Amino acid sequence: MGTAGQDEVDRALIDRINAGGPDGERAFGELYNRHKGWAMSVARRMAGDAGDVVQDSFISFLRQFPGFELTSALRTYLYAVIRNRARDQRCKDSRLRLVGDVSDAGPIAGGGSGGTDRGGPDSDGQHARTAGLREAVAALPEAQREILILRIVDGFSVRDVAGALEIPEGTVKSRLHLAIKALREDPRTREYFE
Amino acid sequence: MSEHDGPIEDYGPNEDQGQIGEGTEAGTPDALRDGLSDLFGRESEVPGRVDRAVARASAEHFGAGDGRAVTRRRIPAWRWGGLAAAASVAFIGGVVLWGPSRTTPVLDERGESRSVARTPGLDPDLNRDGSVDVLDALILAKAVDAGGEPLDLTGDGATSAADVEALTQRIVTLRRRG
Repeated sequence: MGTAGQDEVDRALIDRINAGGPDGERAFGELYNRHKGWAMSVARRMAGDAGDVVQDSFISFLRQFPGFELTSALRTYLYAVIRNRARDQRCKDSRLRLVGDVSDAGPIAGGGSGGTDRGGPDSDGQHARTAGLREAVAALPEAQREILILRIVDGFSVRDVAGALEIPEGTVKSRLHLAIKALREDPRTREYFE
Repeated sequence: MSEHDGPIEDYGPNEDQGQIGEGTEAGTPDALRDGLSDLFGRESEVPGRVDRAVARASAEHFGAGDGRAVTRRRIPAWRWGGLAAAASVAFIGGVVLWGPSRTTPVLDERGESRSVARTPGLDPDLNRDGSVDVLDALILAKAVDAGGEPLDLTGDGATSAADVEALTQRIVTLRRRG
């Protein structure tokens, strides 16, 4: 996740937003621009209409001001908000599928977080390799997959993962262990461990 | 695959890749890390409509349009009469629509229906996690028991069981809609 320096920048922006006025508005815009791309990729893992989720999440975040106090890394907080909004959206719209369902082309199964097949000379081999990884990750239990991605891809600390998901740190560690073990043993991802 | 929720110390270090936890990524092959990042880690482009909606909400929240200072225009005296009439209509409409006489039915502890004021007070998302759920109801119930922090959701001027009931009713309604 963010480095200490990035956290400091976030905190400075939040102070300005809390102060309100035109400068607070500008600071909120800066904060939004710093995190919107990441938020979009997170929302795409969880929901069909990621744009709506990101929009609702940031507007919900905006309404916490003035008086918002950051008690963890900002992305830890934002992740929890995005997750709740995505869950609400799934409840509202039954057409949206849970990402844990491997049988459909759900957000993760569809590689929703961004282009993975960029072509090139090794396009076929790379495509098969990427497809295997995508399938293997999609086959993980949702709770393990979420922690794996938060920890390995988003760089959350174990503590931040635990905070974002509101579970004990020990649970984070054990689920992460099981996720990596499953990928290690999966023939579709074996070559990643060689 | 069974899932263990206990602390990692219960399982000991992973023979293949060492201690799991903060050091896990140290034992994760770079190829796997890169592959996962390629699949899930790329920042996505946000649709313009989302940018615009957030910017609009921000402008409304901070009350200064696009961040520019609000300039006051002089209003001709003859327009004050019309504005006053419009404000009166808006005020009366607001009282009719949102006044404390508007109530919502809730079930009391005996299962009997009664009404509580519907006027919105505090934001019901008490723990500010972006969702109104049972956790907010628990916070409110504790506040009622402790008689401490005023959390008047119904707008009736008191923090009481009626606030808990109104919040619970809202949660149930949201779930049913889902």
